[in-house]
Amino acid sequence: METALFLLVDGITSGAVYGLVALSLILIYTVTRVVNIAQGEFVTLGALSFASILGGAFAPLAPIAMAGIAIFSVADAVTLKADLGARFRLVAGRTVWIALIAAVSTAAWANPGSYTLAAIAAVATTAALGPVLYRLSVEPAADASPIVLLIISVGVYMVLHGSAVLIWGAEPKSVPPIAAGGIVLGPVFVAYQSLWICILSLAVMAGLYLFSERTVTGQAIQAAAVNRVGAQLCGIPVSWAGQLSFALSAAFSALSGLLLAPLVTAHYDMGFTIGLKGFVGAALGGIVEYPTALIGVVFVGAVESFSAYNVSSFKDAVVYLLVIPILLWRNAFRPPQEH
Amino acid sequence: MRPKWLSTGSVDATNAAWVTGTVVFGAICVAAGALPIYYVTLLIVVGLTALSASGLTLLLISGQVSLGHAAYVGIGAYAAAIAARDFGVPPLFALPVGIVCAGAAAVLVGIVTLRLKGHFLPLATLAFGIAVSVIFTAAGPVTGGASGLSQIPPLTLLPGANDRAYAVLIWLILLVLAAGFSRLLHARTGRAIAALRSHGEMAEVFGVDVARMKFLIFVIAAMLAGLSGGLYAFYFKFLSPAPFGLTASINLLIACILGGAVHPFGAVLGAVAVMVLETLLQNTVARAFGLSGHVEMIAFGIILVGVLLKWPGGIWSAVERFWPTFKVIKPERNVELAPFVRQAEGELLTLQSIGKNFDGLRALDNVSFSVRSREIVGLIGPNGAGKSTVFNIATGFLAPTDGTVALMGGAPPRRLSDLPARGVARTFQHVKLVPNLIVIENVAFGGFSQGRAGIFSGMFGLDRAEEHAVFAKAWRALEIVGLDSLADKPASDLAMGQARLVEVARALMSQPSILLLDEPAAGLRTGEKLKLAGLLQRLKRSGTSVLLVEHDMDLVMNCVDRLIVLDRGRWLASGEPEEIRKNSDVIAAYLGA
Repeated sequence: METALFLLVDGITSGAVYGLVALSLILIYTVTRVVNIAQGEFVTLGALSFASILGGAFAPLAPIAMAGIAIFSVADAVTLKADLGARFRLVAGRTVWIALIAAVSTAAWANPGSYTLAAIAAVATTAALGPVLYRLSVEPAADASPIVLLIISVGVYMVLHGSAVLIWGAEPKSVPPIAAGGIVLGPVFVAYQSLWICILSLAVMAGLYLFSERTVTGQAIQAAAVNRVGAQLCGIPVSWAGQLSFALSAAFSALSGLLLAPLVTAHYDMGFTIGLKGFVGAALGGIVEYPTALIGVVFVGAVESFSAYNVSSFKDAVVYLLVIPILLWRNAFRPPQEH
Repeated sequence: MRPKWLSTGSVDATNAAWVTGTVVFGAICVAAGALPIYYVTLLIVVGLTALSASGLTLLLISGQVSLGHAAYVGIGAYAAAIAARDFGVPPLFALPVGIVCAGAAAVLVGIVTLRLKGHFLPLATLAFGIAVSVIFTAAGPVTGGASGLSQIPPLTLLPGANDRAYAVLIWLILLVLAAGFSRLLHARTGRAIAALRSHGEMAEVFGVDVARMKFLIFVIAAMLAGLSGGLYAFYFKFLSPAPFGLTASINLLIACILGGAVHPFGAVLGAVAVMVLETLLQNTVARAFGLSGHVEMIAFGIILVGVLLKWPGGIWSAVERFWPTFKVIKPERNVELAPFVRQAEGELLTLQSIGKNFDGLRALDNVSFSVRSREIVGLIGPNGAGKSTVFNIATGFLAPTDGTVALMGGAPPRRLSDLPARGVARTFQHVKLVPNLIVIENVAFGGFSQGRAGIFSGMFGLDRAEEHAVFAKAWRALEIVGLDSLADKPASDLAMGQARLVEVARALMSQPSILLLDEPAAGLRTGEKLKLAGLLQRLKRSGTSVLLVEHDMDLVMNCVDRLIVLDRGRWLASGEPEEIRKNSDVIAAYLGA
């Protein structure tokens, strides 16, 4: 019984981590129709950035992200068909973003060991990479079919994965937890880190829900997801919606990476499996719905932790094969809308 | 533009694949004989990848995606290897065992998953793919688990045959299949496969059993993967689960998409490109700069993204302009498109007190009318009158809540694909032409239900007589609608009015006793409308009945024998055009007075 409860807590913890990745995948898929194979790499980048910054380094991704935004601002300012004032405002707006990234990174660098600042810098720099990747790999292929977009994201995965090794090397980096120790809840011991993971994940999910349901920006993103052309005619810039979705999902995935890092150590290969599990969870939610995806990821986490305990290698196969009947059930009751 | 030397002469799109295949095969024979053995191994590996990728490309052409295709390669490999190693089956016979096992797995997966809609199917194939690769590792006693299965006997075709002969064998199989599939794309089944992807429902109406066809392609793709797996097992004589996992599935997709997933030769191009790129990167980047394998990965990723951004259609789309376009030569003799006559006397379509509810909304109430043979009936009414609902109920797209429908003297067929056999054809309010086929192919597709040629005869050109007859008819149908000058244009280039007329020509190809036209005049210019009215009159004289749903009063008043007027789901009036024109209820309904 106690073992079962312990495994359940463990499962819910991993489920919460996968949940953040599942949310990221859903956000990107609904807005841009990209099944983002590279999503797990944001987890890796977030965790490794966090480890570096905590260790006193300047945020490694900050220069890349800032350079990317700067190059696109210049390119946009040149190609924009508008007067000088509009061009100036565009560059000024982007400069604010670059300055923010620089400020956050510098603050974290100036205060080595500050957990919060390091976390913010890691998430912010990884998030800033999202729109740059969108501009580079998704926007130019606006008319490509979903399967071509998927393979392009495989290419992006290769670039990010290889770059992570180039920047950080293959050695795993240990990361301290938010708070050491834990509390005894009834018969089980729960590490504070697990609690933090669950609390922060839930907060982010609630935040995303409120954002998409209660704000004009969120509604605009949903509109762009439903009908690109229609949204464009209503004055919603589709490119902007795509960049925002990439930024948000890179941020969520980076957050899940740095939350998980204390439990598994940060290393270059951590992202892909987490991305895959998040994908399975999202798949259970039909890759378009947040709440069902949450049930999905907790289910994946729980089955995984139970099967890790009962050492049977067939259990993993069961997790994946269970996706099929669940899809069938969803298909019968709530079939996906054709796009 | 295509160079001149290709556009003349006897090489056309149907035999270009075979000519290319033969030339490439000759080159491969020379290469396999002359190159150092290292390159022969590369040839074998590329050939095997291309073999499974060409099946996957066929699957993609039919509008399906498998994210776990390497699982079938693995099933074929393990089944063939275990049969040969543990059960003493000679490798030559173990190979078919592998193919059958991969096919059987696809049958099981297909039965369960092919009803999945939209992106659920790729997700299910992904789950299946991962699960199978986990099972290869987990089922240690049978598969050797993670440490692998060794001592697999070799496949010896002739005494003394070596790796070089093996490379030739693999490429022979690959090129025969790829050339066959290329030819198939321009045959009866190929047109249906192309239609599946863009307009499944339309394909069904013209007699394609969509579910069965998708299932068939799915199983064929898996069997090709199984064949590739079996050949892999007997070449390397050692198997481990790693080459059949998720990464392998993704790599297969990369080969397909990079090569261009619109043509079977794209798979070959893609497999070759991936191999060349990897070898080049290993030999240049890694050696010259002394850098780790991760730089190669980054470089590969950048090239992959770059190529796909430049050519979203893959390498094939860059090569395609050198490929002869598909053309059909206009035949000399004239063919008649007589309607289908069985049961075609008396009342062809009868609706008896039809009612239809949509979630409590009464869309139709007590609507009755009939269409007799040799008669043009118009169904009109203001927006929201229920015209389209009537139309869909008449053709079996929708079941009525109450009342009965008789189509050719019986209940509407349970499967839409039986409609053409009943002598029923229709057009669509939203034009459903297959964009990547040329106009005459789109028209020829209308004759699907009357053809017999299957996949095999399409691949190997055994359907010549039948195709000849089909295209002769298609020319006639295009002449009837006056668009024979557009026969060679891609369907996506047509103006709306032309596309509607092509839809009428396609419907005529199934030689219907009754033709149901859903707003055929929308988007037509005045001249075209007059032509359409004349055409309908001619069809009537030759024995076809027409039910016309239309907004355009000029057209309707010009050509129909009788009119049915609906208003807000109810019958409002019926009679000859002149009576309807004077009917005060109708005037009130239209003018809102």
